[in-house]
Amino acid sequence: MNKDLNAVELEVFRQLFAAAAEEMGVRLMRAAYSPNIKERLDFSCALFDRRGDMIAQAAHIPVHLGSSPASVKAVIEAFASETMKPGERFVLNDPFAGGTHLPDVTVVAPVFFEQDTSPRFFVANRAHHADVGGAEPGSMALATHIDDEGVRLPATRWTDDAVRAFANQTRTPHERLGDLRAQAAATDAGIQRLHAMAERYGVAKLETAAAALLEHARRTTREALRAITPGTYRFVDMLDGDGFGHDDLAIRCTLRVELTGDAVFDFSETDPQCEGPLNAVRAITESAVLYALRCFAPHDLPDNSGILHAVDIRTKPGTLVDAEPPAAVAGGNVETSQRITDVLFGVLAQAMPDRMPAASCGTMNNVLIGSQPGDPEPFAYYETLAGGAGAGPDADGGDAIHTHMTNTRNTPVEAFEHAYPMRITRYAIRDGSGGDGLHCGGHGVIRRYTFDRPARVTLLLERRQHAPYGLHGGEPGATGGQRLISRDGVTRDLPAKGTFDVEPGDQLEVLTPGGGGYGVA
Amino acid sequence: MSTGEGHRIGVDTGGTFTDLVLVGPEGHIVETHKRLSTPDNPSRAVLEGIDALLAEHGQGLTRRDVAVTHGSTVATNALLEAKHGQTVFVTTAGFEDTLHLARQHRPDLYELVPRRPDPPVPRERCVGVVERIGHDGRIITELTDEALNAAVDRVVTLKPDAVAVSLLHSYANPAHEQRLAEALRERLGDDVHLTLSHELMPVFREYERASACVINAAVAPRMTRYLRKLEQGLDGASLQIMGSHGGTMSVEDVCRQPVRTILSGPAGGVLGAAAVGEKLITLDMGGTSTDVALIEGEPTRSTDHEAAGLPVKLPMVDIHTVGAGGGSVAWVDAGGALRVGPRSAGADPGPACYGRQRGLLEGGGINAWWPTVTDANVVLGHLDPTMTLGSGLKLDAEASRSAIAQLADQTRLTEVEAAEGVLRVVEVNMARAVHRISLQRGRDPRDYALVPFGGAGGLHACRLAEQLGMTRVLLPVEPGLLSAIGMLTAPPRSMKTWSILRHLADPELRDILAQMLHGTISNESSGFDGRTEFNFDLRYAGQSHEINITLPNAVTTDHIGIDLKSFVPALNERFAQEHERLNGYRLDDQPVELVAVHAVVDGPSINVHTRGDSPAETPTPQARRNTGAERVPRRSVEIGKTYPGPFVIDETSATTVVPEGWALSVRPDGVLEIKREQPR
Repeated sequence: MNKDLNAVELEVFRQLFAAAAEEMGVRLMRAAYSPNIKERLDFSCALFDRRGDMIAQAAHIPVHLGSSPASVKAVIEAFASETMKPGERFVLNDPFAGGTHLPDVTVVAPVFFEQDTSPRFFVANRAHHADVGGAEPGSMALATHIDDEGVRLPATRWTDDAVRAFANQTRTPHERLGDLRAQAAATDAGIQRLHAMAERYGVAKLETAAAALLEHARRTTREALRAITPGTYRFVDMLDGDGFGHDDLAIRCTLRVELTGDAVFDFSETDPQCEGPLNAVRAITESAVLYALRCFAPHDLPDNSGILHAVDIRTKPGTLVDAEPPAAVAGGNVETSQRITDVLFGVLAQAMPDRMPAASCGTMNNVLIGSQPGDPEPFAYYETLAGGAGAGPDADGGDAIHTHMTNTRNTPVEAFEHAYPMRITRYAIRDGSGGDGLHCGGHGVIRRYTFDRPARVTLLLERRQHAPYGLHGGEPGATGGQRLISRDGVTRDLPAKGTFDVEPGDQLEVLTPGGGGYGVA
Repeated sequence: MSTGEGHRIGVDTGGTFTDLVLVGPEGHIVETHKRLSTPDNPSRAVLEGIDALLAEHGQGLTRRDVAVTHGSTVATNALLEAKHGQTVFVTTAGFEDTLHLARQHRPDLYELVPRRPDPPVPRERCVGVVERIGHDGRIITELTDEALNAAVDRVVTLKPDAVAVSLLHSYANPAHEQRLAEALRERLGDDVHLTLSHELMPVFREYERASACVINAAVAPRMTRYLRKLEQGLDGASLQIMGSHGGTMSVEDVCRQPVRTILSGPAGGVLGAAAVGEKLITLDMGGTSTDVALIEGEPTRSTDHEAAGLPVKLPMVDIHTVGAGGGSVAWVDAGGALRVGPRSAGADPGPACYGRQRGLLEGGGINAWWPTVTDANVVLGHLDPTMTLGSGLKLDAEASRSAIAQLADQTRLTEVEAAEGVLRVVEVNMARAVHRISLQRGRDPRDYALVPFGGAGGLHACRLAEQLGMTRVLLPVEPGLLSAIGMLTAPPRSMKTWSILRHLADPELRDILAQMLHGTISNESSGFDGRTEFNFDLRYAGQSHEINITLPNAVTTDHIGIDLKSFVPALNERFAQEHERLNGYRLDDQPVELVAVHAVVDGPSINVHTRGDSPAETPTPQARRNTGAERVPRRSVEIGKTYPGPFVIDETSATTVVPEGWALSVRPDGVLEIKREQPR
């Protein structure tokens, strides 16, 4: 029981903080300019206490969940709280100082009340920007050095000059400024809401409530972890490769649960960071742990840092799950994050065989299509494709559904064809791709693109070699595939990671992996 | 006898009750009636209710003497109970899975095994036809006779009772859908329902369009059977159905487009509320959920709707629903927080005070009380402990107390604190719902009056208003029957949509618009003696969200000679202003794209008048001067006087709490105005 807040206040403040985060999200979505934010909802908003612990969030994208506190903490570290002033904002995307990968840009604002000399709260939001000046359009191509992936912005005080300078180094400065302006407006919405709450309940009460909610989440998570028999559990899964010839990259997790309820997720035996862009910074690993805990803990747990306070996470700097500069990290956020989650679900399945499902698709199936250099009407397009969900102890996995660390919408065929010089000529559920079992894994999808103009395509795909695992005798899901059916009728398989040019009449077909099965059929 | 000349009846079928209102030729309410619904055969309660209502009225009117407007839940229930027909979905080959791919997202981020709700058509009943139209309406692959026959053969072998056809880009060129329709009609006959996407919803985004079409087709057979039967029972009385768009529809129109009735009853309620003022926020609290809506002169519409978790993006009254109602169950979570819902005690076992929980508890059917919001209201004295329930049974206040005591024990609060706490939690939920339809759409709730209705809206209205900084609550006459009253004020309405997808600056646009507008006005308005209003979905080119703009009085039947030269710039400017209001900026160097045009064709509407009845009894002053929940019958408050809270207003269909710091007065039309005395 909580000393400072009764049962009613806990729920009332949980709702109030969550509503404030939601309001920031609505403001951001409305004001944003790029389709990536407005149509695919690739952003998240959150509130933080003075230490940078997350109190509430409105998330569409789980990979943003646990990683945004790192952004706020990076701002606090770079600029002592005492030097901050009301009305100030900070912006950053540096993966090695509070970010995740360069396209995710975070805006942080301190929140002051009346005579405060240092902030009592922070509000922040993170949005995926369609381009940040990397070597290829979309800034997600194969690189071996962070500097080739785009502009790197450490925690920076927001000034018009600083923001404009950042935007001017991208391919689409106008759109970047529009989206950043929307992010700033969203922080204003969060601050306004907190001020309104303070007027009604008092600042001290808000701080007490924030602390009590963190404690509520920590307590609930620990309670859930008690379902695990104390002991040591291990799991390993592989990334196919980094696109530079380094294959079978292992992510290993050991889960130790003590009688006391203490739990440690230890990733320190994971392979060293790689040459290609599959490196994840530690914040992403924390996100994955938060997500996995959030899935098996009671369903209506408040989304805050208290969940992570319930466990210990160990990583070794210089590995795939705790990358150091100057590693390339574009795929760490979208691909490695999925594999870390597969490993976490796998290790939890060892500990709780009758709770956890088999592996889901395990890749976001990133497809980037842009104009070739010199095209008088340049365009750039990015999408991720769903796959099959893993089967669980009581149910088949869903077909064609985004799982784990992403949840972006698809782009409607009719909207796509209206906006770009290409067509979708097939979009279907990929029958037979889900793993068999007592409960079957969900099926992936097939999507075929037909080009009407020369274009340049970048693929960043995983689970083409190592299939999504089944559990307890269930079959693994089918691996994915990708091929080019050229205008002269020749079909050839494509590498899962790389950039290539296509001509009018060419067709690209991407087949996404299915989910693993559960139990013997 | 034909003394019924001009008598009209509004009938709203709800989950628990069927409400009926009889209005005389002058538009005055002359009789009301409430009876239990008959979910197995909803028309039984409707017909018996009409007979009972007319008998109570006692003027010798019969069914055939009255005009009936009906709010029906048949479409929604058919969908929720998956009691839909053997529907077949036909689309472009290669895209047969459109319904099952949906938008590829999962509704719940944290489900261990995520799933989406199943569409009403399984995959094996989705049929592809070889053809292809481009985004500009150009035919890329011709629909050959061979392909046509193959698809129709396949449909016929599936023995459908309804077929939905939605081909890619049919909004840009309906030719292939039309040919399919002819062939299907010929082979299947007239008894099989046919939904064509270019008719129901000619707008781009194939999944959302297909979803609306299959839902329409899936509920059509049951809706049609229901309405035919009801028509028969009415012995020739005229019958109109309340549509989700805020107008009424003919039986023929509903049989064609039943999906337009999924918010039938709730739309009636919002329309009823709209009669009490200009800028309003409505609060309709029922047993399992609460609906809120925003009114500016008339109810705002949006296309952002779902039914059974599936999108139905047709223009409907913009009603936002939260899963918190009188029957919502309060519980304590693992971390020690008091939560309310989403579980509901519903009608069975119902709140503890309904008396059924006690028996279940003793018989081992449940192992603890299910304390509900209604029970909290009983414990706090907001509900009259001596009242009788709809079933005729007496309210079991002792059971409410036991249920709340259990909650108090778990939270280490007193009983009153626990009961207060339940209300606070529910009201925070409702406040979030109100924010979603106001603040999140660029409107400040403090500029609006709150209009509670339904049986329970008034229990929470003033407290909720206080939380939202609102200072005025307007309680309509007969708040428990408002949906039935509201639907009698609805105009006959039909809606039509054209997909445009062209820049406003496009030189061809003017001809397209001129042709379209003139065509509509001459065709559509001939049937109705009313007006046509156009509204427009616009966005900056490259954006993916449209803003709906209505130009006040710009284009109506009276303006057949539309001056398109000034009209287009005016539209552009209105859009830029609205974009700035909603999003904080405008982009004057960016071209504006006209995505779609909607026409709303209305017939004349008739007002329903309410008036403040003269008081039947005068309240004794000391009854109100005491603190606590003094109870005042609604009919006893007088026009022109002010009554300071705290007290509770009782009437047959609803209960309203007037807390301390609020004061009540009566408007000449009988509406109760409750104002915050010292606005914070």
